[in-house]
Amino acid sequence: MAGPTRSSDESFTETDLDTVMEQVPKGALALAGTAVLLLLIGWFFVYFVIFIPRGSVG
Amino acid sequence: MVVGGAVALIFAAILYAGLVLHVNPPSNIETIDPKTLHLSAEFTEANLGTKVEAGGQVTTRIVATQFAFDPQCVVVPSNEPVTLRLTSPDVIHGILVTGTNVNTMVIPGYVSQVHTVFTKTGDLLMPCHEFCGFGHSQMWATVRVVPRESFRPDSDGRVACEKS
Repeated sequence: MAGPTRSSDESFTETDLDTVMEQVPKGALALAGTAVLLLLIGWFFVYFVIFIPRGSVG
Repeated sequence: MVVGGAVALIFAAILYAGLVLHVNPPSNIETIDPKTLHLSAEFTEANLGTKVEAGGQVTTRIVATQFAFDPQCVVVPSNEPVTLRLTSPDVIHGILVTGTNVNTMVIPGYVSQVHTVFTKTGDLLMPCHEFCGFGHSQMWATVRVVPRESFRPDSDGRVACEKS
C-alpha cells in the first residue's frame, strides 16, 4: 500500500521531512514518558493513600 | 531502563507491604464439612460471634448463608489483632469490611481466615461481595469496632452487639 514518495512535491522538501523526523521521536518519547509517569503517580497514590492506611491483613 | 526502574519500584513497594507491613492475601486452607456445620464443633450457633480465647486472642466466627450472616453484627476491639473465621453451608459467598483491607471468599467446605487489626472505631459495613442468589443484595453484616476499654467480654469470653 506504499504510495509514491511525496518528497518531490513542491510544498514538501527533503529538508522538511528530515526536520519532522527529528522532532517526531522526541514527541513520542514525551508522550510515553508522561503516560508512564501518570500511571506511576496513580499507582503510588492508591498504594500510600488508600491501601496502606487500610491496615494489615493476612 | 526507565520502565525497568518503575517496575522495580512497584515490586519494592509490594515486597515492603508483604514483608514489613504483613499485608498478604489470606491463604488459610482448612476444610470443614458444610453439611454438619451447625451440629458440631466450631460453627455451632452458640459458638458464633466474637470470643476472647484462652490465650487472649480475639476470634470472630461467622457463618455466611443465603442470604444473611450469622451473627448479623459482631464486636471487635480496636488496635488489637483479631482473627475472623468464616464458612458457608450452602454456596460461595465473599466478604469485605469497608475501609479495611479485609477481603476474602467464603467457600463451602473450607474455613476462610483473616488476621487483621482494626484501627478505626465505629460500625463498618460487611457486605457479601460474591453474587450468591436473589437475596444477595440484602446480605450484609456490621463489624462494630470499639475502643479496648469498651470491649468487655463476659465470663465465657464472649462479646456481642447490644440488641436494640
